[in-house]
Amino acid sequence: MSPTPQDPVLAVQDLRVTLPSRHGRLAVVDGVSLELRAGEILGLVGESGCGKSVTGAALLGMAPGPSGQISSTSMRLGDLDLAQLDERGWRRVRGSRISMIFQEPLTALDPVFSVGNQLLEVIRRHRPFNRRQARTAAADTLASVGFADWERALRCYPHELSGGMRQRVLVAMAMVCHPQVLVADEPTTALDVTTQAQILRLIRDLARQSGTAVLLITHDLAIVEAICDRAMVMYCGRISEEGPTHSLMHYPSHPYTAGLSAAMPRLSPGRVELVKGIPGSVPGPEQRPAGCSFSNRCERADDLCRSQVPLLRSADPAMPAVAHRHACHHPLAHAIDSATA
Amino acid sequence: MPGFEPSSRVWQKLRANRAGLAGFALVSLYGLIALAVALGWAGQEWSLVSGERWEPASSEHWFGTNQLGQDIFQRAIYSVRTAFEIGLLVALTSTFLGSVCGAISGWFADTWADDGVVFITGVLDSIPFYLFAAAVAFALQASTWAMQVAMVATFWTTTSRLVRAEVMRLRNRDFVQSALAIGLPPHLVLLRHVLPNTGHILLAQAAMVFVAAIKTEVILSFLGLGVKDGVSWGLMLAESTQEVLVSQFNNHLAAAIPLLLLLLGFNLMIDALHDALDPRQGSA
Repeated sequence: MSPTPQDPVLAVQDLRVTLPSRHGRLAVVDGVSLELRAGEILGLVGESGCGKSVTGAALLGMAPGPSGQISSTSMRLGDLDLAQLDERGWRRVRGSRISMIFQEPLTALDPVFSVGNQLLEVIRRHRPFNRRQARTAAADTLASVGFADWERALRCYPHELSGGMRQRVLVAMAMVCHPQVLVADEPTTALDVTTQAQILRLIRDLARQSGTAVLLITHDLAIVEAICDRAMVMYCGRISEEGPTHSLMHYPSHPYTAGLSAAMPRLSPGRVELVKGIPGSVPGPEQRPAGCSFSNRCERADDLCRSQVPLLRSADPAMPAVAHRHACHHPLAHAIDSATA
Repeated sequence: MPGFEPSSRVWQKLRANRAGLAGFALVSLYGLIALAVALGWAGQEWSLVSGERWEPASSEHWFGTNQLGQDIFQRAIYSVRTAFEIGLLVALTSTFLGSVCGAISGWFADTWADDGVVFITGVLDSIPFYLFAAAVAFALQASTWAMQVAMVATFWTTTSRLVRAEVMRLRNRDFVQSALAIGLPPHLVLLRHVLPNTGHILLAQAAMVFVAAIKTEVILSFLGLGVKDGVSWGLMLAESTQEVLVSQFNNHLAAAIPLLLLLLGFNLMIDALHDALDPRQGSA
């Protein structure tokens, strides 16, 4: 069977990342499943500490610290079984088939090497190019991320570039080997708003052109709304709701998603809305309530929520094939849902 | 702003530091003398008895002669070479040893490798320095390298501790994670991205060890545990203890003043290097 655009590039089932603690191993990421299709941008949203960055790093086989452990029931990149890879195998995948962009462009580049050096390092690692071919590839990539004067850019040191330019270099380093999957961990959080928009547009355009699937990790729902095709909301290491961006943003069925959405400042002419916060704060990994991890902050929670972990299921029982799913015992109902049901 | 200073800025900072420049000039001058001696162009008659006992300074014997009638100037000049030889050897060896052990210890922090290195440095550091150096030099007296071994054994620990702390700091920086995320194996990340970022520590620390080695040589030689083939300022000072009793100060001054000037020059240079290279110091 030849791959069709509908086949996922990356399919992960039941991803778990655990860390040792005083009470045995603690799941920082607890049973996350996700599928990414070519050219698609999937948003992974959540508050800090919810495990979204750990999830992203786990997709590159990178555990949080030497004592962290990654497991999954299945993890496939195209026809490659990632779950079977040893550390050497992972090193061949990292940077070439799955790559990553980090949050802080200031610190994600090595201060003592030039941009060209760092870009060439990626190419030499993964491609059997000679010097001229490698330079051409580096130049092409720099041009594609918007460096008109790539010759000069190659010679620049990170401190000589602005934040936005550094992030472009990081995008170039991540894209230079034309990866199938790009994990972008808060790629624009450290940038000012206008630069944010440019970088996001750049990532989106590159993903569309090259067919790279992007996992965009962010805490900012506005970014999700702006460029993501689908989104997953993460809370305490679990996915609480996922679905197409429009459906998720406008018809959230998990109270947490609804809360996040209400906490987002919206500017619309003639209307002043107060930003609503979610009461309480994210519990630490050791203080999670039994059952639904959101139950201690949720006004809809009852005894069922406090005893049983809700499973991810279709938000619309009448249409189980619809990609909008939530993990909630008492989801919010929407007019549109009842209309279709 | 954290991050590495651009090399041109390092130069500007160094050039603006007058005392530092003077230090550089002084150390370079000594370096040239040491080179000239090593190449056999000067100071070759250090052991030749070329005059009477305690001749005063003259055009033939610029600094006079010592108790045995040897030319003090020749001996003082030759001692520059001795000092540089010991300083360079000890500085390079202990910097290498310290950076390797420190890097391993910092990178694998909280593992048995780190525990081992921290234990050894802790034990070595807990022994009073001169006592330890003297003990090692004494224990290895038969060996030509006894003094050098003693110094390396004590000096590498400081470098190791500094590098360890810096590597632990760098390990969690994004660019290290980023280097791992492009598929580099850990040993290459350590070698290519972590160690180069400890360069400012290694350079300043190597210079400090150089000075400490020269000072220690003087003390160990004075105690008879130091230089065996050749002459050094330490040996000259040891000789002069007999001479100052009869008011012959030439030997003493010819060893003490060059030593003082070299140490002064080096300290000025280290200060300047440290100020210019430390990325944590602002651009002010």
